[in-house]
Amino acid sequence: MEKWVWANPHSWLYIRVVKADGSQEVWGLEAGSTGMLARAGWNAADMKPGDKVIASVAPERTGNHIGLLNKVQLASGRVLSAGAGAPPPDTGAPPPGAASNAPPPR
Amino acid sequence: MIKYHSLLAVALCLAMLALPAAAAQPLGSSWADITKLPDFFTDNWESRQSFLDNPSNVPFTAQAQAYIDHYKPIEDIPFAGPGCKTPGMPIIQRLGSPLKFFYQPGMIAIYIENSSMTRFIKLNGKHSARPNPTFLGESIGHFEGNTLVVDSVGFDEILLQYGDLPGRGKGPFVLPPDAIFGPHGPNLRMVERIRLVDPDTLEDQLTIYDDTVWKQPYVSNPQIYKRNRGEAGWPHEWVCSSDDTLTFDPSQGKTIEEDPAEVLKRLQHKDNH
Repeated sequence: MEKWVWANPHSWLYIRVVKADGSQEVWGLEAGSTGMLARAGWNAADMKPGDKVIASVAPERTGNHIGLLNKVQLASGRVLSAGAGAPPPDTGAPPPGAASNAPPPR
Repeated sequence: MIKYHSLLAVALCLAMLALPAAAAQPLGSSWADITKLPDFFTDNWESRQSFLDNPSNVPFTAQAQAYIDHYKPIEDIPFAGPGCKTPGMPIIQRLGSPLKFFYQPGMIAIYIENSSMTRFIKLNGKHSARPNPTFLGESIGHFEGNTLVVDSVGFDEILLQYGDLPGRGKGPFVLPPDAIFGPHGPNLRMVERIRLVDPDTLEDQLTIYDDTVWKQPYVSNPQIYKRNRGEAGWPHEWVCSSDDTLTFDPSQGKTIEEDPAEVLKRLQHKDNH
């Protein structure tokens, strides 16, 4: 984990991915607004630079290293999910990122 | 003694005359009325629908049609970019973060967590002779039974959705590239009918009047909100702070995508200086 930007309208998680061949990629992962993340159990202090995390992401169709953050498994094993950047569960909305590069503002 | 009794009789008569006047005070005039109002106030309300509308086919005026003929779709609303310019009513209160209602005699306030703005609805009052332009409008409300009817005028440069592009916006979640946005006329007016469908479901039925845009009133789909209870029902602060991560180009109407590695360098440079 490189940086966790706790911000509105959306928070961003920047991670450095080490690939099998040893090369690295920096990914920017868009999450929800701070209030909605807090309601889902997230905290600004959940992650700090250097933490190893596992991120579940809906990547952009463009191939850019940008995606919607669906959930994160922290180094402690704790999983944060539920609604980060996604529309409410019963809207019938398309999967995050399916219709636009950006998630619906929350 | 006779004089004293006469004065007492006059005073009693005056008091009796005053009673019906006091009883006729409309709902929302006293602290005691809070017990008679529908419970909009406990915890908060989260939209369960698209923040843009699936509009019906309301016919456009010639002026609006001429505008639409040259309309270029936008990829996102300015709210999503640096500065987070509010779209104003009605979009700002349809976004995903919740609404929180408050009451005092003569007023209902709605805290809109998106952008931390608050609407102030004057109950049982009248519009100003010359309302100044605002992004939430000047709102006057009254109760018709259990329905709060809110009449709003005096709008600034809000992001007004005229409709959707041909063939677009048919799904349950309408996004900015699907929609047509345009300027409003001087007499733009919004009327909302807000009621509880059940104890945990709130409906806001909006009708928009603008004879420079539509030939008939624009009747939006009812916006449905669900009550968040407990911890989730507590309001949060919302301050725009995305300037470091996003760059919005108004000429293109979209957020410019930068290589995340470059954004990260910028953020880390800022942290170190």
